[in-house]
Amino acid sequence: MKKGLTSFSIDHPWWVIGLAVVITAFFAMQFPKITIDTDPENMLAADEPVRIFEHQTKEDFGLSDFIAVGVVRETGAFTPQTLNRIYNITAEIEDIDGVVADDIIAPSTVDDIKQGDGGAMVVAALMEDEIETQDQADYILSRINLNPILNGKLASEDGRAVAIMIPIESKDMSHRIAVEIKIITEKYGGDEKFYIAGLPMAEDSFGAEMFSQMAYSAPAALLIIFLLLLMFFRKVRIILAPMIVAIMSVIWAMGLLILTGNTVHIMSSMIPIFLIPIAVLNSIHIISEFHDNYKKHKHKDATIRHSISELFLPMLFTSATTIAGFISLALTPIPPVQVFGIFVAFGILVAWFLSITLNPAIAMLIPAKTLHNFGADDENHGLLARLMNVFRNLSFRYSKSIVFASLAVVVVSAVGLSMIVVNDNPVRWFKKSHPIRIADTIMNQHLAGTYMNYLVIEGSDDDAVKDPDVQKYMETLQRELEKEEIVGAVSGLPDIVKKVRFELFGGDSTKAELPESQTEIAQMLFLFEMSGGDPDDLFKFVTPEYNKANLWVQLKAGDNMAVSQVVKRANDFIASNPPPNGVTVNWAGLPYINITWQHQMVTGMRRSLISSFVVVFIMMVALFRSFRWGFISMLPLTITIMAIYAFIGFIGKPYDMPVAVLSSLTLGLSIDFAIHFIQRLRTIHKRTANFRESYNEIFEGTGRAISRNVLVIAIGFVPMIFSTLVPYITVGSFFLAIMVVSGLVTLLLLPSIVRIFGNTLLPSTKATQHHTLGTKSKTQEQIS
Amino acid sequence: MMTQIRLLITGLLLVMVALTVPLKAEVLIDGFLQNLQGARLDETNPTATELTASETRLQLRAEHFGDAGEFFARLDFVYDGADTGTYNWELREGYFKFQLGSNLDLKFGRQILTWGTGDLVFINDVFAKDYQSFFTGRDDQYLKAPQNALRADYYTGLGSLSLVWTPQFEPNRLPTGRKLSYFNGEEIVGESQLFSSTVPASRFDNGEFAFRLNRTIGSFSSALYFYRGFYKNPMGVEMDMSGSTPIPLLVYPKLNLYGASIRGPMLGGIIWLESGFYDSRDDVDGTNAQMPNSQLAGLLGFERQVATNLTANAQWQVEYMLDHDLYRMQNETAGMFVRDEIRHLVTSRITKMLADELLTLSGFVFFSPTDEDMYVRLSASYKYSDEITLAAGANIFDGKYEATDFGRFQKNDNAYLKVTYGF
Amino acid sequence: MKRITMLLTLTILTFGLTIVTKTAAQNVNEIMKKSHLAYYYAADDGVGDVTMTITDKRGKERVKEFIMLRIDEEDGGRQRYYTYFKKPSDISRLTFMVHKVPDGNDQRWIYVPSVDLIKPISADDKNSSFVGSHFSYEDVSGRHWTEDTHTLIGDSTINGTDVWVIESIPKKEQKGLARKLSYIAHDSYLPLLENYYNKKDKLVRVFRADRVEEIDGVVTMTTRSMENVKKGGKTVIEFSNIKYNTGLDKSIFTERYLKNPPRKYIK
Repeated sequence: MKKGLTSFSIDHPWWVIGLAVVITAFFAMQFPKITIDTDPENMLAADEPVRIFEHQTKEDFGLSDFIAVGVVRETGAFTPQTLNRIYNITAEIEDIDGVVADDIIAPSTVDDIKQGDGGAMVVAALMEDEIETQDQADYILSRINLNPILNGKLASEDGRAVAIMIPIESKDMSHRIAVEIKIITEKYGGDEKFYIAGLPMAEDSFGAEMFSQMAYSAPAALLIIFLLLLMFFRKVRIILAPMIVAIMSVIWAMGLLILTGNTVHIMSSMIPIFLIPIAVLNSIHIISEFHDNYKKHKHKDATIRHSISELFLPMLFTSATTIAGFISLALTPIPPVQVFGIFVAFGILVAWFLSITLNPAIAMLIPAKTLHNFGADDENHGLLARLMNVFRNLSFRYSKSIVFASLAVVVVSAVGLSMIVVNDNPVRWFKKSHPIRIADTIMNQHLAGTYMNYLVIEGSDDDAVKDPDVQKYMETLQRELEKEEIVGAVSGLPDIVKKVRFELFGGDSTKAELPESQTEIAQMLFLFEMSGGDPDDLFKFVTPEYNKANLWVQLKAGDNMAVSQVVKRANDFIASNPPPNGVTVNWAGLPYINITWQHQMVTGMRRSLISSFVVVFIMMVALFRSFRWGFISMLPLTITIMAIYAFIGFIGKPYDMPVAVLSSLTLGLSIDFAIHFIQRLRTIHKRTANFRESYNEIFEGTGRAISRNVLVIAIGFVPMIFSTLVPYITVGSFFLAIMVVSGLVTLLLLPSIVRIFGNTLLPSTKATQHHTLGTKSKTQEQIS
Repeated sequence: MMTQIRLLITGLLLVMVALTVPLKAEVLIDGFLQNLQGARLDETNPTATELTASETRLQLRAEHFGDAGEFFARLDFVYDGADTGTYNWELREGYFKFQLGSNLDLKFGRQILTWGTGDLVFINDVFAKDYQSFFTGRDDQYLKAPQNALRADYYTGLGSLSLVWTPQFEPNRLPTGRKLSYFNGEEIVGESQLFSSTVPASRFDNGEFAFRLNRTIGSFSSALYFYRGFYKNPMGVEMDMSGSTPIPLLVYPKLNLYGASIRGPMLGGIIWLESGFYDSRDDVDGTNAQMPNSQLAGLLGFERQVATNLTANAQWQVEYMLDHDLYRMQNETAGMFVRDEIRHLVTSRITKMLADELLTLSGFVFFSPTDEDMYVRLSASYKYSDEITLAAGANIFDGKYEATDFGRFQKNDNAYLKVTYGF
Repeated sequence: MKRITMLLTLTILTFGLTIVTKTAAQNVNEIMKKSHLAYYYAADDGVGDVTMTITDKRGKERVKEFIMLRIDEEDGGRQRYYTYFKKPSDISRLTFMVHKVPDGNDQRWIYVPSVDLIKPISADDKNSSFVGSHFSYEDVSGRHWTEDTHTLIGDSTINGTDVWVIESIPKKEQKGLARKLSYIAHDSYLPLLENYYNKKDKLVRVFRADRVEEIDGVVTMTTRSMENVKKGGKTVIEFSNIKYNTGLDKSIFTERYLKNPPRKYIK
């Protein structure tokens, strides 16, 4: 097959190129049909019980996702000027399309239950109109602080911060609405600072920024790779081929993804960034081989045939192992990750196919003149060659130290791995300096929290939650959860009942307790409605049938780890205090959804990593037809994964979605060098049949090709490190780390092992011709 | 002497500027007065002076922050009682700094330059150092010698780019044999040089160019470095053919340096990692016996607070010499000391603060298992009042061989006392 | 001469138009006043059973049953209401009383049996929901016709009944309401349909007189509904056992009877 395909390409280059262009055009034509999906909720399948429950809860209680606007004035936000500005800004926000105006929580929209004229009880807007005096402003703050439903949530107790919670019709509007809110707040000027935060906005804004980042990162990576290749090979025409292969693989994969009706999710937007380096890898090996051989053959046709046939097996296997790494993502229960894995795998297949067909076809079109003195410049004094000498010397002389050092790395890494902390928070996908991160920090410092979770109490019958036992249970649960540091506040129906009772008895604080009878509870709630309380406000906490109630759990942080801790506290409490009357307690809310898919992701990723590890090992044993070589080839990959993830454990960087997905990339990429190294070493050895010669030679062609790859991929992805989005920085850093670590391990540890077990691994059947090492020794002889 | 006069004029000019500025803006002037007495501990030390230090130093600092830029100067007046018995002065720093736009800072004049991650171990920091000061108990700030340079810092979203151009090469200040002895290639000597040394001629292409790209990745600060210039120590030998007989001359070989570093929080402390490739341009393939071979250097360090007011760090530096085969052959032939192919150096600093942080005890150990030499710096400083600081310390060297980095100073063990009055 | 004729004609025309416009304006205010009286001040007093069905936007129903007593002090002036709740059972025996003061603040009291307490309550009647329904207090007790500027837009028919279409714009800016279109029957002066629009001129709420019957010679809306078009949900109020001019004693509408409902009317 290999001879056939490549021969065909060499004999009919125009056919191959034409066909590739036509197919590429076909896939490129799919691009306009692209649909973009930035909702992390889609990390879970639509029929996932958590999501169904989430939607049910939202519908039951008429809940929306919130954008939180924080108004902070360090010298106090409760002044007539600031409050009036907030009043007017709120009024303008109400008019924004997509804002659920009736449910906005702001000083001018929330109700306060208070004593009116003549001892009357009244539920009325906290700030009914613009105010004039400082006394009025102070009064409003005092009312907020007296109201358990508003205290700390609507304003900080010291009055320096005010929150406006803006419910929106759908999450994918939040970025646009946030921008409109920003324009409004800027219009009013003033000396207070406005911050816009909230999980849905962070998620939506991330989606928006992600695509612009991708539009910059992928071409930037391509450009840098191009420049680096140009530096190595000096002929534009020759390095065009790998660039074309990379671009075409991306177009084919993305085109097919769109054609099959898949949406481009946060994950799949990263497909180009993952494909480009993998696609370029094989081509670099081919060109390197071509480059190093051309001076020998001086015949284009023969050099290409020779290069491809030398590289066919290793390329097939590097591609197959990388595909295995990515296809294993299909084992995770997370649809976008599955799509991502499958289409990256498809892209790799395309890249491999194009490398052995299109690459030679393009090479055939290069006029012999261009190739004049290609590869002729002596590489032996170049920086790479000097570096390869260093590696050869180090691994030959210090082979035992290197093996021990590697063992030490493994042991230390095991410690690091145990320190890995699984955590994620979409807000943290932005860098610390990003306005969203700043807003998040400031608002959660001052107020009860911008992360909204819901704890749904469900009884079997109507009126079940009016039961005093259930009310008491809810209240205890509220106080229990509030012990958790990140819980800013837990609000619920008991708060309203107690507040109404308190005001009913003319502000008697001893009466601010839950009634003992269901009738009284019902009448307190009815009194709330009769006094002017908006029933919709009530029904955010309870269904009109009173069969379900809803505790609003406001968190100051959206870190999955912290959310999990809150969830655990609730679960522990429920386990040791079973709810009365067969009532059930369940979680809803975006942070809860996030921890659910994170949990699935972590376990899924572990499974896919282990399974692809096993598959790759079997493939290696099959490729080398040797258990020993198979084992050795797994070392760079094992050490690379361990070292990188241990580093993550040591520095305390959370194991989040991007980090998890990168494990398959690490696996796929770090095996490559080992395959090339071992396969070529064995081929060389078959020819030389002499250990020393084989050992020296492997550091020439192959060593240089590997180090070129290390440099091209590592440096090519440096632009991603400059991104404003943390996952991109992570991906960029990973490429760099994978390349450097697996390159080092391949070029140091593998030869060291070969050196130590040389007699059995590569038995010499011919006498050594040179007595010392490599090219250097010749110069040495000349000197002496 | 010419340099002295030139410097004096520059210094006076700067002081004049500093004095004229107050008409319009404020100039902050402060400084300190210090007395340092140091004695050698090894009687066999063949130095010219008995004391390693006996000096009274007055430092004046002037700084001015204006709208357009700032001016900073430090001028030292020293009475050297140990050696010459004369008054000397030196302009430690004197530079102007301008902001061009919001992204570009320009700093020109005499300045102290430093970068890199190591603690008293340097890979990519090839700015001039003053080991005479370092070994005799002067304040840590005196380890860095000033350079007359132009520094540009450009801040972009991609990171900050720094470029330092030092038009006239500035070498390290090494012991001369008067107060500190050294190994001259054959033996440890006082003031008795085998060869004289010469700095590269003052030409544009003999200037030093140092470049750094600094960028924060997550909580890690990372940097790439490049330097084009010369080894800072006279490590090469050239034949001076100008006379009737060729005379060997110590020279500063050409050097290109490529490096990278990261530094950031880990395991409750700070970790740093730095590497560099010293590309010896005068001996690219290691064949020239008179010039140093290229080498790779790596540094790993970690520091954390181990108890209240007790901070400790440890560093491990590795240097790998390229073409060591040739080097060994060359040096063996010449009967010279042969360094190992890989040189290890471990260091550790322990700092303990006592008595409400008024008393600081510090120990710093350099130890190379491959060179089999070491250097220990001990110091105790007590802040008697806001103005007065008392300090005492010792510098101890040891080495199996006389040719190694610390072994060459092995007779220079000394102890010192220091009183500083700040104002 | 010609110029004088022209001037004269113009003057007459202008005056004529002004008179016509003014008449129309008076006319439309008159219609709204009559409508208000027909709707809220039928007869001198009234008693009736009320079934209120509140359907939320999910289609879930809640039913409240109560008895309502009303006495007018003067047509278009002060009124008193007394409400006794029967269902749902957990609020049964709860009573509620309103002294309506058209040019001042209404006074309201509620008796909460579970704590045996009478509490004056007050709520912003324009925006507050009545008994948790889609009707506001104002919808139930009536918005005074002088609070709006009315314009007669035209005539139309609703289910065969001729109606005036009148647009009302609040004189004082009001939250959530920019204008209202009322369809008022020529014969009974009852509003058969009311459309409420917000500032963006979106239809927010729709009021319907679903059933109109003649009881004791008074044309009465026995079923009425309010639908929240924007948010979804609807409340239907059905009256039954309506009796007019039963000679209610004004003393029933005092705090004393809140605790002890008048058994004659409340069974």
